[in-house]
Amino acid sequence: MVDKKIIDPKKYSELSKIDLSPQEMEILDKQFPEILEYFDLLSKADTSEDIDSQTLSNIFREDIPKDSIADEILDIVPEKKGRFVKGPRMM
Amino acid sequence: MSNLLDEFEGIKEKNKSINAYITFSQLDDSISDGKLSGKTIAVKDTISTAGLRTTCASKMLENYVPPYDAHAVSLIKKHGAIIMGKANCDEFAMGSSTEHSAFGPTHNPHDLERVPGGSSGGSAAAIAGGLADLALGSDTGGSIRCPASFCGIVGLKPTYGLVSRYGLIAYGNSLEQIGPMAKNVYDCALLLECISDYDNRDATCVNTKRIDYTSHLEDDISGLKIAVPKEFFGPGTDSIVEKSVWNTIKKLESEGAIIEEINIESIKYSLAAYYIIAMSEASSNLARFDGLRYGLHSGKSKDWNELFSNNRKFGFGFEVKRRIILGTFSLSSGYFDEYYIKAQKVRSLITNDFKKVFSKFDVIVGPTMPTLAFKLGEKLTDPLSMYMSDIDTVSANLAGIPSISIPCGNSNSLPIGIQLMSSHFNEKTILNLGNRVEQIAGV
Repeated sequence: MVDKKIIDPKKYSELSKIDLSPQEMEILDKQFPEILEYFDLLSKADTSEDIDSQTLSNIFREDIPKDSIADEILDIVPEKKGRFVKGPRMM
Repeated sequence: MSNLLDEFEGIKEKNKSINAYITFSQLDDSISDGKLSGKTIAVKDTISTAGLRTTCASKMLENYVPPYDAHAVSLIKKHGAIIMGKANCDEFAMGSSTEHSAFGPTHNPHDLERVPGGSSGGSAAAIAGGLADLALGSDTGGSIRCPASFCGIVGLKPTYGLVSRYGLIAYGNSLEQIGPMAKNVYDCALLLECISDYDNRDATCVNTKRIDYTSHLEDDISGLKIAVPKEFFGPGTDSIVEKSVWNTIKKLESEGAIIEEINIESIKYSLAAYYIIAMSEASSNLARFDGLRYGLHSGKSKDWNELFSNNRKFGFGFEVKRRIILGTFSLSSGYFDEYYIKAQKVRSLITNDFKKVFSKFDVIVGPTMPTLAFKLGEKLTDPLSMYMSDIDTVSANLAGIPSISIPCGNSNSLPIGIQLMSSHFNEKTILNLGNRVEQIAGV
């Protein structure tokens, strides 16, 4: 059984950069333990043996400049200065 | 084409009761050549269309107009398809009912009080409701197959890497594929031919030989070895669904297919493994939505932390918030090994078990969904119950294998879907068997 205390919606919503309302916090506080109890089913799976289920290889391409849609992308940016995206204060 | 322009107003009117579309295209009277010439198509609103609003059914992207086409969209245009509009879906593809949309739920054309399935519910409802000939959906854990089953149409999740994900706004990027949806198997195969072109802009797109899927639909199925896992008929399966699927399996047996019931033990862990991986990937993939470069921008704030948290508070719906937060937890220090790494190890177990089955069998068969389409609102307050409806579909996404849903029966006019899965890049076999299912089921 998962310890209710460790599933703190406030802590993980702050880490996710999502501001939750008190009502949302309350709902998740009730729902998270049940969901995580279901996830804990995985602890019964025997994964002690190393399985290489697929061959993975990295895909690379040559670093050759191509046409881009940088101007069209910048057109969408809500606040900018020249070709720079304007951001909020960091500190 | 002038017929379509005449019908367009009627389609928009009918859409008011079904809500399959979020945005309609501006149609003109031009017709292009190609395999899809003259065919109308709905495009799921998580797939980028240049110059045509793409919202992901979210307030976060309510006014976002992409500057480029997804690769699959450029291909359907090249083949002459007419894009009718952007199909409604669960927000950021997170859901199984198309109720988690900021633009209202989609209604099942077979019963407007029921869900069409999700997350590609708008795509399926557009076809079932006569509002499009074809559709593009995306499938991360069943999001093409579930609505195909509930709406009585054909929907295929391709092998991971067959169809380029360039332009698909990501939810679970190791799990999802854009895929074809259609009224029948032939049209589904034709659309798959058109969109399965190699694309080097998606590093996970595999440069393997593509084939003409429509050429193999009438191949003889006698001797085909079919495995039926008992795990796909678990305790939550409606008896009418079980009966309809087994009726179809028996008919295939009478046509010469060889049927054997088997066990795949690791399938019982698939739902938990899927949701941990998908939610973890969602936490990462949706971190980009901070309002700085695109998307909802809530206004001035004292610093970056307050701005991002506010933009995301107002931009995301509750289901999206729930999944991101759970994903963040699964990836966080102290829980990463217990949840995320464990889920990936279980994923390897499941993939390996499927490979073993396919060394002896050609196809795995079972129901697509454990139940008939449920009523709107029925599962909204119980998220775990909603997640459990994916129990038969998620394993294909974990293993990356192709899977198709075909209508095989109905109960009080509510459709039932049978699911066929095969080994990697073996879409030809499930389309061939699916074509035969369509002929013998007679739905």
